Amino acid sequence: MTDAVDIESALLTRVAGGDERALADFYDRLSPLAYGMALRIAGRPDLAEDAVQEAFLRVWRRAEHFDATRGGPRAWFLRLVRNVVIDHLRARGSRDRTEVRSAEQGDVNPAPERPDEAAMRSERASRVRAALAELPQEQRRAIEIAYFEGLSHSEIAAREQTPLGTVKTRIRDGVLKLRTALGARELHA
Amino acid sequence: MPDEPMIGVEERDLDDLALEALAEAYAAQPTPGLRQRVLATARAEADAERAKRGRSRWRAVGALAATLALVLGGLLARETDLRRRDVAQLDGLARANAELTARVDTQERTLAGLRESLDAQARALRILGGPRTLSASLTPKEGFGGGGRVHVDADTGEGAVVLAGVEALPPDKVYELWVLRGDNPPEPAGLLTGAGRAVYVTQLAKLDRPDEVKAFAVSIEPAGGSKSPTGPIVMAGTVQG
Repeated sequence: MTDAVDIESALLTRVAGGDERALADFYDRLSPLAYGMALRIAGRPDLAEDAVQEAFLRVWRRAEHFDATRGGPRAWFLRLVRNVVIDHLRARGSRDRTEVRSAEQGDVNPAPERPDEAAMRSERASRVRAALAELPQEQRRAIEIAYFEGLSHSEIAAREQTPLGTVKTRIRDGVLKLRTALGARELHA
Repeated sequence: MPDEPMIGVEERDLDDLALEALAEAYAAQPTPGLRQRVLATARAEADAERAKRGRSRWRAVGALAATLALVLGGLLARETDLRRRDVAQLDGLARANAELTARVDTQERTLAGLRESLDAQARALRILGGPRTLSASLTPKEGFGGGGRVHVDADTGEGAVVLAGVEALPPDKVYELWVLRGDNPPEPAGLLTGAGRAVYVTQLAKLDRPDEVKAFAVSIEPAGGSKSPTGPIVMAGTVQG
């Protein structure tokens, strides 16, 4: 496991024991990722913050449900955030955005962050964005619809008027290229 | 939070990689207020949970105390009940002992009376077997029952009385024997305290000048006897020489 996986797994263990300091540390490490993704999905800062708050509180209440044998803590938490945001949007009965914005449109509006953290995060974000930007347009779009809008492969195929197998292939090929471009360790830096 | 299904690809590592990459790409700092809200809410929930556990603990302690009180109360009640039973048994034993003691006393008195009676009978037999015996048959007066005999050794003055069928008297009364000598006033000759028995035999104090005794009589007198007859004469008889 990487250092990040070790650290975040240990934090979750402490959170499960009721350690408020561990929750604060876990928040500090993952809130930019959670909030950025939630904002990307919801399109509104207030909805994004509500979803992120609920996701962290779910971790606080049930961190013991994290199973390290089924993946890393970061992906586990981000999947939780994504599901909470999508559930909130579905509960509201409407979506506050109509289509996925591309990485090149860039566009998120981060809140003030410590300069050193912001610099590191910006560097990592730049590398990932660059990797995403290198993907063919149809692959990047299929990936973002799948991960940010909560549509199934069949729903994406229907909306994009593309065969189901083609949608699956685009997503899988795009993710494999991302892995090649980034490498697993870089993602957990 | 159950195991979530994959999002974009079936392999978990690829799916996780894509999710993390997208999150990195769009990372953004939330407002400082969100951090405060998350931590404050978490702390409030933890405090509420601790308070709930505390109440549960105290309830458990209270329930335990109540159970102990019930158990101790039950034991105390049982002990008290056992003690009460012991006291009752001791009381019963004491009563039985008193009754037994009274019965023994009664039997001892009866034995003493029988011994006395046997002695009196022996004396009566000795008197009757003597060379000169004066006897008087006591016959009841009207309204009274029973009867008896008086025997006196004419030489020594020793005597004995045998009574039968005489009614028992209340505790404040007693039968008293009188000696009559001609026209002289009756002389007290002894109290017949056991005359209520079916057969009663007793000795008499030695009589002076027995040859002068003309008759015997029995009257009912106050307990302790009288110097001269005050109650009714219940039986009497003249001496047969």
